Amino acid sequence: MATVTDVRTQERVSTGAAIWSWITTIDHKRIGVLYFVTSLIYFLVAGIEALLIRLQLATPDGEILDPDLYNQLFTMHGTAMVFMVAMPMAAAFFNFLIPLMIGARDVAFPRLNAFSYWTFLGGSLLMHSSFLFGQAPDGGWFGYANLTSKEYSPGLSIDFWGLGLLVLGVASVAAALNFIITIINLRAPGMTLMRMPVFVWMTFVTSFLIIFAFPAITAALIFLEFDRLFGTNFYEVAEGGDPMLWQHLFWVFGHPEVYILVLPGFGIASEILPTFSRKPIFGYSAMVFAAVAIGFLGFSVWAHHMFTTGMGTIADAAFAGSTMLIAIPTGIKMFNWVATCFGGRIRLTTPMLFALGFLTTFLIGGLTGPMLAAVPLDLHFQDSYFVVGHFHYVLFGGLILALMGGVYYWYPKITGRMMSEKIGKVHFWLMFMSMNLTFFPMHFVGLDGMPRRVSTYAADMGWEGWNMFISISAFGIGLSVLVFLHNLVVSYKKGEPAGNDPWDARTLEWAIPSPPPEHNFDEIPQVTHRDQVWYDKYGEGHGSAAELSKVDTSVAEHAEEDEEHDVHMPNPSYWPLLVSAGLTIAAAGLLIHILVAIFGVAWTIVAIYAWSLEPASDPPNEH
Amino acid sequence: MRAPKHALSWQSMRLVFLTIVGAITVILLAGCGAVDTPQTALFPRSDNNQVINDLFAPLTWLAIVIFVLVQGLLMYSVYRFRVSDDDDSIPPQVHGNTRLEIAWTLAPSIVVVIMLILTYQAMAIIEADPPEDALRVRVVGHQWWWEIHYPDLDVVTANEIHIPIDRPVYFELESNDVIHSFWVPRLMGKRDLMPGSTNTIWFTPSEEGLYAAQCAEYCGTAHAQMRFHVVVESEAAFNKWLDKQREPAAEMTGDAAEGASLFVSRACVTCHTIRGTDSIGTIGPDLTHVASRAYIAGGILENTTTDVAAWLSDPQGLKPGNKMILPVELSSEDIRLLTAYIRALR
Repeated sequence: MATVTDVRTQERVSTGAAIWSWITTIDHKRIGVLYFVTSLIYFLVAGIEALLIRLQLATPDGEILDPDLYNQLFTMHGTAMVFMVAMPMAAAFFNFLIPLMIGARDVAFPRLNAFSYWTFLGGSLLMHSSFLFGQAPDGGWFGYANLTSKEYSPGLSIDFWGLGLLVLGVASVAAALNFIITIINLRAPGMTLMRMPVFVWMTFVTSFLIIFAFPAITAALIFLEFDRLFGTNFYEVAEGGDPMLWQHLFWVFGHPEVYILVLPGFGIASEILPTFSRKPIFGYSAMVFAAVAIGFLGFSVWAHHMFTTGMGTIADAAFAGSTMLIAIPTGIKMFNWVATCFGGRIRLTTPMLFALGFLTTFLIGGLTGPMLAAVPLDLHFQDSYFVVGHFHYVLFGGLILALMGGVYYWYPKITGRMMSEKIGKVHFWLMFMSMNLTFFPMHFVGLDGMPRRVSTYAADMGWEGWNMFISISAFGIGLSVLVFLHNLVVSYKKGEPAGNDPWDARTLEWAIPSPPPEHNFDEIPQVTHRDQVWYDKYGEGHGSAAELSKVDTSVAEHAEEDEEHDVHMPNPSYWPLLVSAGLTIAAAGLLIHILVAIFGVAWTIVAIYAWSLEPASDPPNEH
Repeated sequence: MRAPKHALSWQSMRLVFLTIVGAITVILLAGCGAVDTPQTALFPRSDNNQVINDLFAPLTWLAIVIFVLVQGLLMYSVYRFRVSDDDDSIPPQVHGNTRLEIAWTLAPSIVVVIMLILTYQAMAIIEADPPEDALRVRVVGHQWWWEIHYPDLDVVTANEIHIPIDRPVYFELESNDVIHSFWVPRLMGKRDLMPGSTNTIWFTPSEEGLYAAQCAEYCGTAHAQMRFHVVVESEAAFNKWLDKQREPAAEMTGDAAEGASLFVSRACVTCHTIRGTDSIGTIGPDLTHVASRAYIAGGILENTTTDVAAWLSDPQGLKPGNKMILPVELSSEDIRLLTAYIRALR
């Protein structure tokens, strides 16, 4: 029987060595944890920014923030939540889980994986360092040209934003390629594409969306920085440039980005719902193809963000149509999730509550979506608080709630201990109610004519009641996050030991010890079925577990009967960190002096060569 | 190893559910507002805005019905099939059902078709070309105020648009600097003012009144304070207003005359135009008949002696970032005289 390994029972190492081991780690699980902790810190930062915004808007003519600071805060709240919270937190799950779920020992390119993390850290630190100089970005997360031009945004704020995003883009694309190749090449024998867990499929689709969407924003940002740094005229109206170019490029990225953000949420819910319904996901193939369809359609709808720009009736009608089409695959997924629950044995654990909360709130966000696609309505909704309500339902409901459920679900696997169910339920209900009370009334103030991105509003507009209500509710979300943090910390020390499979779950990661050993699987598992672990436990049959003769050949136990196998894991390396540092210095150099930028590029090139020449693992002794 | 068993009871959870449902009901009822919201998009005062509202109602009801059905199904499933944490029975392992899945592919498809048909019908009306006899108004966005032209009527003003009732009005929208958005929620949806090109929008106002409006596209520091107003009035009142606006500024006497000379010596002239005088600046709003407007400073202050004086003493404090930067601070006597002048520019 596999034993419960506890992190603290491992051999004691000095603090310095421990830190060094994290800096040089190329273990996908540790990188996953790094992603998670970093994105959690940014979640707190961006959350505090949101609460400051709510303090300012709680009363008319608020005097807590001046307009410039307010504009910086809403810009950084949006930018950080998208690029430094949602994407990296999803990446944390991809990192930790994908190799475990497909029965692999690591991702295809472990050092590239470390590079992705350090580059993400470098880009996000570069952008946030702007606060130290009082030059935080203030052009909105959407950074519309020509407000971002040197003429209307002098100073370095927009450069911090543009260059930071360019660095972050490198991290995202590198990670996406890594996951695509990992999923294609490293699946355990027998794990066909259509036997992969739905979460793996969502990661796969998300990664493709990233590599197709990011080139668009990269081009847009390079144009922007060329305009700002070298005086080109891509967006300069007076010189024949066109601010609409930015909008098209940004939204060709920006709309697929929405699916980049929510598909991981879909994936997490698609793992939690079957486990706690004790049924397989309903309509597996439809779930997979619906996600692929959403991915494709996601690239054909970008201009629905631009109905008010006067594109003309034909374009408006076409984009309204393509946008509404997305309701069809999304509807299929929604019904399949409900059908997964139907007829099951539903255990209302904390992860399950979060998954059900995700379904509920995402349903609301999904229903206001087609309303926004109706062009005439969008002429009112666009840039009003109605949209703010809509996309917070989609992103807070569709992603954050799912991620929270994911944390509760996989925390035992990651740490070897259970999170407190009692605190977890307080966390869920507080967060779920607060988020509804925060974001639902935003639809009303939007319909009452309140535009978004306003630093203040007059007392005679009739908006102060709702705004006060929303602000109070927003602090409820803040409180729920504190409860969550408390649970994370307390459970790490005092949680019950989890064992391999505390939830009676279905996929491969539950067959190995919690936390998993560095090499994950003593022996690469043989896969014969979807939900392999469930099959190993119960076979195809159903009835009462007691009646079934437990097949009892879980992969880990199976493996332990075998002798020790030679497992070659790649060596730790600090070169990925150094390449990332070089890239970040190169980007920062464009803010400081061109020589610094050249130095950064030279550093990067040297580090890339050093990385390439470094042996990946110790020379084999007998093979 | 099973999940921990200190789960809340179903009863307490049902209580929480009921609380949520109750809270949402209260919110919905309150949302259908007893509060006076002058800038609401919900009570249209023009033909095209009515078309939009007539589309809003069915699409909203459709969304509510779908929500109730799907959420009801979900709640029913959870309620009906919940078990305690230590129940370890295994339900039939159902992998799918082709007929059902076809059904719930078709259902959203039908809903989408219905929504699209309704949408296209409304678009056909509001995106049609404006009638020939429509009144033409040109709006130029500035950081952070609105320049208003009536090209066929030889009138220039700022931040307050007068239009006659029951006559189609056609707006040509342009920008002098960055992107802004023209939004008078009770009269029409929004349309962006794009630098380098001209956008259009039209409607026929159906009820007299003073309508609040503001810029809806983030345009920099004072975006929140880039407000304006639209006055819908009778044909007669509109014509009277036009006649007045075409005249040059009135002759000044007393304090106002002293204020007029201060207006020149304190450099106000470099930014503002007052027709009939030496002031021909174009950076700020035309002030020829500023006293006839209900609001000043881009719609944020009432046009009263107190507020005008307050504005002159601290424009950067009242509207941070705006382009009215006084070369020297004005003395209280200067402010009194300038206020008299501005209030006399009727």
